[in-house]
Amino acid sequence: MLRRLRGRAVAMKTIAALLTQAEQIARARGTEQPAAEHLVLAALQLPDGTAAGALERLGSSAADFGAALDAQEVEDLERIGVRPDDDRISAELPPPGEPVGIYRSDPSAQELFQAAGDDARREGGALVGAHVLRAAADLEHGPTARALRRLGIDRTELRSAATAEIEARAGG
Amino acid sequence: MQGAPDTIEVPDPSDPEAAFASVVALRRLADRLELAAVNVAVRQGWSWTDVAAALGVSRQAAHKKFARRVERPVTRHRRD
Repeated sequence: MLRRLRGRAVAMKTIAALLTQAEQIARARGTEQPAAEHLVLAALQLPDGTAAGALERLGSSAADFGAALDAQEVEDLERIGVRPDDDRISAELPPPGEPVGIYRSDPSAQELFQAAGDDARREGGALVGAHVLRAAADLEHGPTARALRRLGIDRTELRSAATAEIEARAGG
Repeated sequence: MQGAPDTIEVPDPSDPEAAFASVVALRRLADRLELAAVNVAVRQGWSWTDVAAALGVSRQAAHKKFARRVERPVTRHRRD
């Protein structure tokens, strides 16, 4: 009973860390509500290290994913002739400030979070970062899918790498 | 990037994947630019009424969206 409660407390802490971080990442980029890709970036920063570990199994990293997201966005804008001076815009953004803790997010993040949580619950284990990545492997479209494609990461391979991280953690 | 084109190429609508990606990137850029500009405007002393009029939204909508997020000017006694 105590062990179960403790497990639940850890899960709550992970969820709070994940959502708070996603909000901070989105705000630092000037986006009001976190989207799926911000949730993935937040998962990659979780102290459990499983999401970052899954990418490393595929010869990539959390930093690579962030860079791919940015590069993809630049390319998607360039394709329509838009070349903003992003450094100048970013210089005028207010600091992200303290997390509000209301955990608002856009539908893409909500769906991804829901899928990751359902996935963890089905296994009866605590939610870890790799669950978010495993759920993200199911995304066929959108910035997350495009960034992964840009990195040459196959979605099936990502799913396997995330599973390996989850199993390694459950076993250890 | 060499030889920047003079004309704006709009993605072929027959390639929705590329068009959607550009739309999403534009939205992200618009959000970023909007927040940065509101931040500067408030610092320069714009009222919420003026910010709202310039953005084409209601004063309430502008205040709700940005008041929490922008840096407040140091001296600000009256509510506007």
